[in-house]
Amino acid sequence: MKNKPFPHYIISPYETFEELLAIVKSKYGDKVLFRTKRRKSEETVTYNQFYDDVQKLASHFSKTYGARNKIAVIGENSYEWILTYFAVVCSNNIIVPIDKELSAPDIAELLIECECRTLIYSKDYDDIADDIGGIILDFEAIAMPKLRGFIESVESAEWITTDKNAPASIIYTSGTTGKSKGVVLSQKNICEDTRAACGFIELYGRTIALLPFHHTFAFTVSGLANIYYGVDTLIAPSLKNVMELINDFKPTYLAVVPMIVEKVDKGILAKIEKSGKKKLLGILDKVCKPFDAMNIGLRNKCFSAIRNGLGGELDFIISGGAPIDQQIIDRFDSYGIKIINGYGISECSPVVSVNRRYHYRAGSIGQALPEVKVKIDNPDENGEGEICVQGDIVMLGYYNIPEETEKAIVDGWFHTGDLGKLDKDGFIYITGRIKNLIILSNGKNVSPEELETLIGRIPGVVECLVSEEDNKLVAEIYPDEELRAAQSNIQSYFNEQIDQLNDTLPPYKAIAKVIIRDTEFVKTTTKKIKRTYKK
Amino acid sequence: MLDKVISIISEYQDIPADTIHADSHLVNDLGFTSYDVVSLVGKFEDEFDIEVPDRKIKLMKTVDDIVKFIEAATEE
Repeated sequence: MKNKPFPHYIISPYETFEELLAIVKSKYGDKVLFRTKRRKSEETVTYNQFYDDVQKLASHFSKTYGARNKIAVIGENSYEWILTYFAVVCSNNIIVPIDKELSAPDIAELLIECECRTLIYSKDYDDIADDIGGIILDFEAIAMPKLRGFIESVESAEWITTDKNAPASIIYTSGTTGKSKGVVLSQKNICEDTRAACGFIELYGRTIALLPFHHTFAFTVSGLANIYYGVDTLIAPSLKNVMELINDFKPTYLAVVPMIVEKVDKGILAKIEKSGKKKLLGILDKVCKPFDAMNIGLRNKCFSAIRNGLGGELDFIISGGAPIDQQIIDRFDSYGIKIINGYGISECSPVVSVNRRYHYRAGSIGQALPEVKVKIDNPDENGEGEICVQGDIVMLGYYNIPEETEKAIVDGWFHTGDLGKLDKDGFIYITGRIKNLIILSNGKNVSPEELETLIGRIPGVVECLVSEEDNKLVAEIYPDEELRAAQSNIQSYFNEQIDQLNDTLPPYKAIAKVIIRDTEFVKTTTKKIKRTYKK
Repeated sequence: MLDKVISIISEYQDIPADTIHADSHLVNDLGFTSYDVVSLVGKFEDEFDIEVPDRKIKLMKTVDDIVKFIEAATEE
């Protein structure tokens, strides 16, 4: 059935991680859940093993830390990372996933803010753990290899009773003012969102967990939905050698950010150009079209050369974290690989809407998930207004900032800060943004105000504006006239200053280009610099 | 070493080798994305049989940074 209303998949009810684990243990038992590869060796974990490991580690955490304490986790993607997440939540404690690109002082600031004194880290981050220990008193850092010892020390374990409505996770997200805000989610939030997303998308076969697990979209798709559907998941610790991994493991689907899809797309286009078969592929596309309407899949055969370059068994790609170009979606469609895109925000656990595999609209971000309500607040004459969300997926609030929570959740509706409209079938279209957040194609959100504050501290900067151009950050600076007169090469001066600033920032916040202005910026009536929104 | 590194970059990014220099900035001059840089490092790992922790990748800003890293890693 092509692009017609399509029934929802029936998903077993669960509201806690323990309930999810009980379901998948009985369904999949000794089937492989996770694979990890280190150089030439491969290790596997079955559903039964994962169930036992989580139960025992949760029991250890419960005995050691009691309940309602925060435990942070940092590291590259690994079995231990995901095990930590589950075990902390199942021990009635609160997991704080940390972005591994942050510096030790930045991490320490977040940990202090959420009163977290325990960090579980992978061995590549032992210096970070040491540095944080120098900043926070009473800080405990646990290296991931120790977890196995904890599990083995537990002879028999019982599940700990947890409250599905209590805080289970605090995720730090880029605030619009530059200060990170801790999004507090309950197990019910997370489980309802994953269940609803699974009701829209059926996962099967094999996948590679490429995106960092601290990314909420990555964890939902590659750490929760895949588990529910019994997917065999290869955990990739890094984005190095992605194409080799895809060709070796032959995934049936992938969850990635647009940046990766864009790169693959560029590679395919370059190969087509070099092969001189562009015209032939155009003809094949036309030949396939009438068969698409009859639901006869000719494309797998006609475009097998392209598909084989992606392992040969890739049926669909879930793209999240940032908007994706419709032209790329259309091109992959022609190869017989569906790109499923949607919309999410950490505050909504995170998936809000999805364009389904067989029911979608070009240019849209799909329909709201089952049991999730979306409305357009205060629409203008074109039906455009702020996208608001209601349902069990909406966060409990921002950690320790009730005033921000009150601003964000009004009368039970979460205000996303994104502008959009709905069509008659409930498909959502993003049209703009109220908040000043730059969303890069690698899924990273950057607050321009945060960087502008830092740039504003550079001697000689009168005004500055940070924006995005070709997926890179650009700083436009209006310099002090005296400095302009004194510096023979003002461009070099600011390039050097920005380079020094970049050294202190996580790579995704680095400024790639500096533009010097001769005139002041155009201001709004309230004397703020005018920004223009880019889709 | 520099020539080999330039050759791999040239092939990866599909740009002429003579436009790549030791002081070329991977992002600003050669148009790399952060994903490209990580992916490229994977190629150097295979080529030179070295292991580069992800956290070290952010230190590789120019072609020369890569050359120096590989030289140090292969000497160890």
